Amino acid sequence: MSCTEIIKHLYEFIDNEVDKSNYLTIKRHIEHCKDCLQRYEFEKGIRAMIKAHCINVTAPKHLHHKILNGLNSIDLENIKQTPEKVIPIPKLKHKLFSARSYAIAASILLLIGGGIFYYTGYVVNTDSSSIVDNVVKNHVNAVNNNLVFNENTSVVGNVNKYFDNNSNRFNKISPQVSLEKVSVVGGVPVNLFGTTSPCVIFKKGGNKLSLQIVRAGNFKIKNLERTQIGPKEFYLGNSRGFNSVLWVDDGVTYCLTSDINKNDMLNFATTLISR
Amino acid sequence: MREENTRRKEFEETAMEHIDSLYNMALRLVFNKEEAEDLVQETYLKAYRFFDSFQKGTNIKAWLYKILKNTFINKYRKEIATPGEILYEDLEAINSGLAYKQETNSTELADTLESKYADFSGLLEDDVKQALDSLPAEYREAILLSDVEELSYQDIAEIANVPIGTIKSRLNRGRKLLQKKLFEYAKDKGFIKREK
Repeated sequence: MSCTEIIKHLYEFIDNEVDKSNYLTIKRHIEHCKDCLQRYEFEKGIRAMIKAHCINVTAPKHLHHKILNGLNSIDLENIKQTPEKVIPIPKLKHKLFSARSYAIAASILLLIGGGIFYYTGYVVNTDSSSIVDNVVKNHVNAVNNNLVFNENTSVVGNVNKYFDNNSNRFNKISPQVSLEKVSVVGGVPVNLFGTTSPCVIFKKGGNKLSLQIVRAGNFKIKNLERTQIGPKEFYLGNSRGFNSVLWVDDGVTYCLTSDINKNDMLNFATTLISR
Repeated sequence: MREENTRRKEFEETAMEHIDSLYNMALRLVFNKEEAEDLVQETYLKAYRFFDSFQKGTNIKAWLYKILKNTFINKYRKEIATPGEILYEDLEAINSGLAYKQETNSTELADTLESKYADFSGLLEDDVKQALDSLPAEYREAILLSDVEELSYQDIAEIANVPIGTIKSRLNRGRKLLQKKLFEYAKDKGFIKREK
């Protein structure tokens, strides 16, 4: 083997990844060739230095505790899960809707064709950009975990099982949302029995859009970019490449989030309102 | 109940000892302590949920990294998918042989090797980390997993989800780039005197 070839295999040699058949040849060459030995030692030295400088990071103690606590909750949840599988939705719910709103709901369900996923997401921060940021985090979390909650399993206890341990943000105590206010979002029933802040995910031509109710008291969405469609004002936010459209209806702030473009989202938002 | 206990015990015994390595890797992915902590926590909880799918006898560290990496991608997918990346990777694959030859033939590199090595020893931890962080993410990942964590090419390839050949070429180019950066730092600090 020539020096060029040795150098070509040098990294593999140092990484213990060189073919057995070549190992001895390279080893012998390095032992006898001053230039290659020098190169070899240089590379080894750099590597040792990088390792030495990178290895002394220790994870904070509280992280260790947090993880162990999380494991505890998972254990608990597994124990609980075994006896009762699906908590049925209380019958009472049906009385809240008229036949007409049911028909609308059904037609919308068909329209969006994706089923409804619910989960709770409570936004704590009151600053407009962090609201959008949190909403986007919730969105990403729900979409990436492919959470599918149908009408039977969207009971708060069930939903929380999936979210409680996933991230601290969901451990925050959420305020109770008044039932009348959330029962209909522009015609889409978002009635979560006993739930706090709800979220619905729509599937629309391969894209997923989440509609979340943001409850954070008197926050300042008015800092966001504003646009008007008909009589309705919308606010536009952006975080991590996701677009958010926010609006206020009846004192409740709704936030639609997705990675599709702003105009499509605005169009979809207006259809939600006009129903 | 008892089944749960042994599973839990096994998980803690095999997985928890890698928390520092995972945290270190997370820090080099997100550059922010809080987010790194979140990432590590999520990784562990996910790993515990899917612990049954871990193949015993294989490298658990590599398995945990893979979960960490996937969690990271899911969380920050939009940010990573920069258009330039794919092009770069393609070029890399096509030209790796050629570029390599040019680099190894360059006399400038060989001439300064000795002085470079001697002077690098004056660099501080921050310099090294800064140099690492300035590398493209996929090079940094390969170098950390290989040099620091000493994983096999096979494991690294699985974590990065690319063929082994790509890992080799990332290590090749990444290490060269890193040396170049370190050389610049050392020069700026005055350890290395450039001959005129």
